[in-house]
Amino acid sequence: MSEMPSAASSEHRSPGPAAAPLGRGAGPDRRAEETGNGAVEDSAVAVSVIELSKIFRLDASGAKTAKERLLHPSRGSNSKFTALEQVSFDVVQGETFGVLGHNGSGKSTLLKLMAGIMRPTAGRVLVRGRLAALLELGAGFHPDLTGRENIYLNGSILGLDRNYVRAAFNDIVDFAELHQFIDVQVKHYSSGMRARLGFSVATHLEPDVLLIDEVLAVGDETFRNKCMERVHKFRSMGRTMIIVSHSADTVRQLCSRAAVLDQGRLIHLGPADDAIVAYRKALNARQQRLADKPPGAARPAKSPVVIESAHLIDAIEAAGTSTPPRHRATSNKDLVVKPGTPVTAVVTISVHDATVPVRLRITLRTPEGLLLINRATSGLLGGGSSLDLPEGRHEASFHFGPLPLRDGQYLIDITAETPDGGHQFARRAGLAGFSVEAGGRGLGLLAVPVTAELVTPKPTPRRRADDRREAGERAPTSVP
Amino acid sequence: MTDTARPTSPSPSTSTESHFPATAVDEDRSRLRPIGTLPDDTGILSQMVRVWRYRDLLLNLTKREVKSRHKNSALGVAWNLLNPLLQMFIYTVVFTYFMPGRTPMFPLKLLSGMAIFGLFTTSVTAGASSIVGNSAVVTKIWFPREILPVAAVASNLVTFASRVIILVVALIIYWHAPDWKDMWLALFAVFVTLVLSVGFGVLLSALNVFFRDVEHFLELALLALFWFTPVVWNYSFLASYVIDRFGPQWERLIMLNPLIPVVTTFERVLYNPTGFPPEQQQQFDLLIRPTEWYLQNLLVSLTVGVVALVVGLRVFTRLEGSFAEQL
Repeated sequence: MSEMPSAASSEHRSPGPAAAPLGRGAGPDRRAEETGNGAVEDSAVAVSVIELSKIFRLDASGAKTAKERLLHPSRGSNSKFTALEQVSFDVVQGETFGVLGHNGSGKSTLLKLMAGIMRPTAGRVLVRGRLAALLELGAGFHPDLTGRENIYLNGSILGLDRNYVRAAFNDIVDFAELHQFIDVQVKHYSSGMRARLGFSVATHLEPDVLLIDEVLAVGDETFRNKCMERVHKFRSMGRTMIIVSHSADTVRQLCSRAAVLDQGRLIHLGPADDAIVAYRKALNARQQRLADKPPGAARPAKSPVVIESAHLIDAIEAAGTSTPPRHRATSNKDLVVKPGTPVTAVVTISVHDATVPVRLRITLRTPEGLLLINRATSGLLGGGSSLDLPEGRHEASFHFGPLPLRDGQYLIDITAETPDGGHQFARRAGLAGFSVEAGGRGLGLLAVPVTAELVTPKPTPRRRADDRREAGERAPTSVP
Repeated sequence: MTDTARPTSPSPSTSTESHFPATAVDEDRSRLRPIGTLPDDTGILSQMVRVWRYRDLLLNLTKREVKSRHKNSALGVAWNLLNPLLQMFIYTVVFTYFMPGRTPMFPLKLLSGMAIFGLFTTSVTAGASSIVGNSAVVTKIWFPREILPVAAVASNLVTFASRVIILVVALIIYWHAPDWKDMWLALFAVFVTLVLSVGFGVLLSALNVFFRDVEHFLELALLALFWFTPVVWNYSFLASYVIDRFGPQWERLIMLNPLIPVVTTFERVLYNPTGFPPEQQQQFDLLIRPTEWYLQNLLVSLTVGVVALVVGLRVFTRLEGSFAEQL
């Protein structure tokens, strides 16, 4: 791979998509005007997405026989679903660009449109150079062919000539660790093997633009790390990458800029960190929408305890030196703290049946579901295994000690359950939350001080002997 | 929230800026190309250019078709020879012993007709299912999709070649000379058959994505076509019937079945009834025609093929954008 001089080899990749699709009245000129008043003007644009929309006819996929089409010719026009609406952005050459969105936000549709697999209802996508897409890490293998044949087939789909693929072949197989299986039909591969080969092919055939869907969703830890290495290398070669993900961490780790999609619309475009904040906001709003839908109906009437609400306050507010907390909180997820701040969660419950023994459980987690704290009230709030509260409304405060957490959002779930934890009476997930802002771009979960020192070992006698020998060998040449 | 949709200050990292000096921008922008096939991109010429640009892929896909067709069968490529031999054996037994006719060297007639007719049927069948059969690739990567039916047709040239080999061997065994003088007509007939195959293959492959009925219908249609084309029977039967009933000017109407000119040409040149003694030639009187007659008929077929190709490519491009959704 590295021994292929890229400038020379690009001459060989003659029939690339760069030259292939001939569009009439293509928009480069119009594009130039448009980008002049906004997006990115400094560097060469690698991918330009222009007012892209995609509308699906929902029933169309069901009607596969001519009979249904003939009997109900007009049926399709009624139920439509707008998956993508007027999305525009530019991706600059050499950057790693993220597309963030929750499930159903339209990001997979966008990916398929950018890859040219689906045709947009309106708008267009312009691409500079060869584009490869890694959808669900499948890369489009033919099950009946062997791994070797599929590598060459994929190469020719990307418009590369045989010699170029042959030069990269060993690297591809090495990376995918498929030496003994390379002449086995792909249909006999495990999903992991297929994913490894797909990733390896897509990154080693050096497309100018690489689209990746959920890059690190598959494979074991070792392979994921290898992929990360490869992605970093790909980036350092100055190639363009577009990573579509619902994981803020992936985007934070890999991308410099990102777009955020919500319900088919572009709601944010900018540096990755800002985009992640916008994404989290959208996620919260979505959760709120989903949670608000069945407000009273979901509440079981005979539950002995109802979890009314919860909010979070930091230590200063808890001490009463700041403004009253309830007045300040516009939303119960607005609290922003610095790393190492103690936080108090105030939970309001109503007890309807005092005879049933109940305890509360509070969990602190990341939006992705990583559990940080999980604590039941057994031994808290008065000591017993269950809360013995009279009927009526109560307010319980949980004080968390200094939390050494880094940038990110953290959520509280409250559960009311039997004292042995066997049955849940009520559960409110993501009822409250807070964000930590360290003001830096860091990775990882914990903000714990880390120090380091460097010790350089003294040169050993063995090494000195080597030096001497080398010097000795060189000496005669310097003597005239 | 919509106010954030437009970037306030997009700041690509400074490293990318240093890589690409501002002078290169204009030249680079002009290299932006639309991806995928656009709905207005229906020029038949540009489509052909595109297929030609991807000829490496076409070759690879054709090889793949040939390879994967017999991948899991014990006899493998041998089926290319076995299949026509067994077919010939069956028809010969039926038409020599069960329903004896007066046709001399019947296996030769059968082999020549079946070679060219088989090229059309196998190509169109393979072409029609090419998009659906390759859904694993179609839903994952973009490339000019019309390459798939074209590759399906191309891969059947291998089957055709093996049938021609059997025919040549049979000609040697019977020591019967083809009409060398008009051999170019047979080559032209192969070309016409390929145009017809690609035309119908492209059209049906796109329709098959939306109506899976196409495959079932095609099976019946090809069976009907087989019996309406003089492969096992003699062209003179049909022609003399039409001439007696409606008059000689209506003979041309038979040629609207685009396979008849192709098959009759192949039989005329390779089976070559002019080589038989005069008393046997009599039953082929309507097949022993001047070269121009065959050329005119072939041109009619070619016209049908070109129309099918143009319509097929049009329909294909119209429907192509929805392939991934439908598969």
